Amino acid sequence: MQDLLKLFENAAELITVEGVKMVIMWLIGGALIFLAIKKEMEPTLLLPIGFGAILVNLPNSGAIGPEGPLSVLYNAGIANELFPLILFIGIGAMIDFGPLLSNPKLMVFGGAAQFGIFFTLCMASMFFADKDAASIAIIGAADGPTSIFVANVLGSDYKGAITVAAYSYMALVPIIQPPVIKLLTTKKERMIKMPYVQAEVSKTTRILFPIIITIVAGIVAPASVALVGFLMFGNLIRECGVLDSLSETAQKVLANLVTIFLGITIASQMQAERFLHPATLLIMGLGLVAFIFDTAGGVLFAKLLNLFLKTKVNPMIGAAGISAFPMSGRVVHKMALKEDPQNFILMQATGVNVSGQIASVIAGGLILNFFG
Amino acid sequence: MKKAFIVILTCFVLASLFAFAVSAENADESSAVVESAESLSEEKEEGAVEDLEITFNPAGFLTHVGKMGFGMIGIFVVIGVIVIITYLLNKISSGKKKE
Repeated sequence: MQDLLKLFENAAELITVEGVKMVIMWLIGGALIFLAIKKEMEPTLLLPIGFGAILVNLPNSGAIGPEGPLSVLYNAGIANELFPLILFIGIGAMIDFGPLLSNPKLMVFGGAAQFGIFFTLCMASMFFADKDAASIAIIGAADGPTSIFVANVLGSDYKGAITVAAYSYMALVPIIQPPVIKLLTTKKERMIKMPYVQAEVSKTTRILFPIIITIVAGIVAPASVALVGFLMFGNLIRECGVLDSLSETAQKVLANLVTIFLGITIASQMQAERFLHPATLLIMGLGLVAFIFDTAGGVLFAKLLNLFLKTKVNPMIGAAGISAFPMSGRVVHKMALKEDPQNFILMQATGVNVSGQIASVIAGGLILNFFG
Repeated sequence: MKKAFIVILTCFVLASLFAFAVSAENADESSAVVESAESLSEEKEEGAVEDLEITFNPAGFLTHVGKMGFGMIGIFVVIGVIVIITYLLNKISSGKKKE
C-alpha cells in the first residue's frame, strides 16, 4: 500500500507551482525536439538538449543529484570544460582553410564580424554582473563550444540559457542575417561581383598555419590557448596527410560521440527553477542582439573598406564572418545569386566564414583575458 | 545613400569616442559599483536562485565601451599578424616551388 502511495507522491508534486514549472520545461524540451526533427534546426544539439531538459525536470529525477548520471557527466566534461575542447578537435579536422589561405586578407572580415560580441557585452552589463554579461556576450561568437567554455570558466549562472541561445540562433542564421544585410546594403552593392582566382596553397603552408596560429593567439591571449590549440590540433591532424584514420575518426566518431554527451549533459543546467526566469528571456534577446550586430559589423566594415578600395568587395561577405560555419557563407552566396544569377561569391564567403571561426575563438580568449 | 552612410558612420565614430572618453572618467566609479554587487552575489550560496536577480544599471553600458574598443583593436591586431604571416608563408613556399 505504501509503495502505491509513493507512486502518487511523485505525481502529486506536479500539482504544485514547481510542478507546473516542470511541465512548462517539458513543453520547452518538446519544442526543441520538434525544431530539431521537423525543421532540422541543429538537430545534433537541439534534440539531446530538448530531451535532457525533460529528463532533469521530472519530480525527484534520478538523472541529476550526487549520483545522477547527468551530474556525473557534467562534472566530468562540462565543469572542467573538457567536452567543448574535445569537440573542437573534431571541428578543426572538418575545416578546410584552403579558400582562406589563398586569399588571407579576407580574414579581416572575420574580425569585423565579432563586433556583436563586444556590443552585447556593453548591453548585457546594464542588466547583469560582469561575469554573466561576458558569458552572454560570447553568444555572439556563434560557436557552441566557445560559448560553453567561456561561460564555464567565468562561472556564469546562466550556462543553460546561454547554450540554448547560442545553438538556437546558429540554426536561425538563414532567418536573422538576410533582413539585416538588406537593411544595410543597396541592390547595387549586393550585385558587386568578386572574381575568384584559385591560388594554389602549398602543403607546407597548410601544415604550418595551425601551428603558427596557435602560437600567435596563445601569446596574445593565453586564456585562448585551449580553444585555439584544440581547434588547430584537429586541423593539423587533417592537413598533415599521414593521419587519415585519426582525421576521419575526429571528424565523425569523436565529434558525434562528444556531441551526444555535450547536448544531453548541458541540459542538466535547464532545471525549471533556474531556467524559467525573466533573465532567460533577456538572455535570448541579448543573444539576438549579438547576432544582429555581428552581421551589421561585418557588412559595415566591408562598406567602409569599399570607400578606399579600387576593386570593390561585395559587402555581404562581411556578414559571412559570423562563425556559424558553413551556414553563414551559404546564406550570403544564396543572396548574391538571388540578386544576380551569375554572381558566384561562395569561395570568398566560405573563406570569410572560416576566418570567423578563428576570430571568434580569439574573441573568446580576449573576453577571458578581460574578465577571467 | 553613400553620403548618408558617411554621415551616419561619422556620427557613430564621434559618439564612440565621446562614450570612450566618458567611460574612462567613470570607469573607477562604475567598476566599484559592479564589484560590490559581485561580492554580494558571491556571499550567497552558489547556485541559489537569488543569484539570478537582474538589475537595470544604464551606466553599465559605458563601463565596458573601453573594452569594446580594446577588444576590436585586439582582434584586428591578431588577425593582422596572422594575415602577414600567411602571406609570408605563401611567398616562401611558392618561392621554394619555383626553385
